[in-house]
Amino acid sequence: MKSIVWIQYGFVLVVGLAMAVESLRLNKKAFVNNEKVYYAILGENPELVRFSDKCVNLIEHQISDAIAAGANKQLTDSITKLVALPNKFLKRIQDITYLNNTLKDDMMIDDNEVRAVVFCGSRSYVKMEFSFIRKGDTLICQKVNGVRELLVDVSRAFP
Amino acid sequence: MLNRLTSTSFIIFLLLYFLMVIGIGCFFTRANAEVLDIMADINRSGLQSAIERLLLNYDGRYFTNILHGLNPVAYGYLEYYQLMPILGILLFFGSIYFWISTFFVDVPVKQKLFLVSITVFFHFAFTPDITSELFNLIASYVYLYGICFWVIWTASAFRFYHAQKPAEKLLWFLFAAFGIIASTGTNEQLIVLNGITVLGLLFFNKSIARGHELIPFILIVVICSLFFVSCPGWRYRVLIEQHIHNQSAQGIFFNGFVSYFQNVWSFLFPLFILFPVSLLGSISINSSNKLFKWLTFKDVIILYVLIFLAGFVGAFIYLAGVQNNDSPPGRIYCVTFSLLQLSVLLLFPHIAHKLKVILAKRPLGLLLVLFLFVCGTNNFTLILKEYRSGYYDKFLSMYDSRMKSIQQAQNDDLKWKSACFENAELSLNMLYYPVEVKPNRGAANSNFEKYFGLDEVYFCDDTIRKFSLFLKGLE
Repeated sequence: MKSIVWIQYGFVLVVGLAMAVESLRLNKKAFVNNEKVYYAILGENPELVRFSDKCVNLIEHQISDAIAAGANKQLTDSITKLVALPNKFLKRIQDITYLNNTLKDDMMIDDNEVRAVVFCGSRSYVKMEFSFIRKGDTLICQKVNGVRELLVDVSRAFP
Repeated sequence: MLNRLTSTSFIIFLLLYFLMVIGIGCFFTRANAEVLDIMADINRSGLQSAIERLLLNYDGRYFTNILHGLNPVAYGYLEYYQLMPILGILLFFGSIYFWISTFFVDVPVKQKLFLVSITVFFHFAFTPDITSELFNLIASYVYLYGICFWVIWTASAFRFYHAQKPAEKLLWFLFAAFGIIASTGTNEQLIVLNGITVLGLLFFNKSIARGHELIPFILIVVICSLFFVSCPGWRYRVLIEQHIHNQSAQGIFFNGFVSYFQNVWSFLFPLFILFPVSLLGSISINSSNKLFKWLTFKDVIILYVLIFLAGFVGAFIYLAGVQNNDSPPGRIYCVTFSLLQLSVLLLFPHIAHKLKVILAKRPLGLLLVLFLFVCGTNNFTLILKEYRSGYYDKFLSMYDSRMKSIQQAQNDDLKWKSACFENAELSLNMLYYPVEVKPNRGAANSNFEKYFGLDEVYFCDDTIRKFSLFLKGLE
């Protein structure tokens, strides 16, 4: 019977540790994200206005971080590095037609070409508009009043 | 002989009736925008990333978020969504069977199956929100699966406590531990329920020397609850809800009490009259309840007080978030309803034993129950009413027309892929929870776009389009 007690407490310990580690990890991530949270009012429709990089889609997070330096040259370099990430990550990128190897060749970095903003977030509070981005789109990051915005050129959408 | 024939006919009738209604439900139910939204995340960035996103931004329901991975819609199989209510029914059936097998003494398998069948039938006929429990899968994981896991863990803990062999003890411990982890991670109400359950375990423990055996269960409940409330998404959501539902504490309590007792009042007749009459009328068992044998009369009274308390506090968590003028959604009472039903079921062996006189009048009682089923107001008659009115056919043709527009947009060789929906929004019915595309663009439009990989989804007569919103935003 004593071995059962050991197993029980061992199980509790494993569950407890796993949950504690996961909770710390999530809160750390949220804390880091909270520091960067910002809202940009971009229209009258309240479902479209909230704009925050609190959304933690892995890809976007990585891109945002890679782009954080802000300089165009650095951006290109960062994305080149991003594409060179391991297959698992790359697969995710391709899955959402967000970036692929051809994108970096077509990339144009020019604030004048900014046409639209990528909205991100989760579920009903902060809406995502990932579907807006297509393979071959130009991604642009700019800092406005100290706030980073990830932008996409959607000139393809205009006749 | 006549009685046996009558009860068998009654159960066969209930079974056929149940299969017919659930068959109609499964045939016509469809995934709404909320389902598509979460499924798109899983499809695009994987289950792990989707779970993380929800825990960071939306809630602490970690196990519900894991369960989303079971949804075939996440893997592109939209058509299999209709089969998912069956999985929920089977889980509920299995967990009640396990519960009855644990607590009822010497009941033959056939009678157990009858008992469970009637319990399941009654549950779905009278649950306050069958849409959330069965047909809206996102909510089903929260409101139906949670209570199933609770049932599994309480029965397993009871078996663990009474098991003699170490291997048996270990097995039931693992079952109970899984049930605690799963149930706590489905729903805020289950945190309250699990907390009250472990208090009950401590209170009803007859042997101080064996009290240490319960400590691991208590620890797991505490750990899981702490994990739930420590999730950033949960805190974020509470902040938003507080902001949205800005009402006084007095208002919250008053509205909460009124609403709770109104709802519980509406359960009284089906749960405390119709349900026992059906059980008594169709099954003649000579059994007793292991739990009640183990507890004193005073303990049983306290057990029922705890059950009511758990149902009340659990519902109150959500009632606090309801605005003054809104009536609370029925789904917040699903856990309360399930608990009350289980409390009636727990009494059944004693009622059946003591009220044999009712068994003698079985045909009359059963006829009354049948009449109330077919002619009264319950979830099944409401579904059949909507079906007969032709509403579901209309709904299906509208939904299918949307899917055709989406497919066409996907196949178009255009740079801007957009799907235009005809007609108006799909309104509320028993089988579809309307998280819906809105005229001139609402939140749910982007859910469709995300799942189907489109640039825009809109109503054909919209005057505001996504382009114009973007351009306006950039001005």
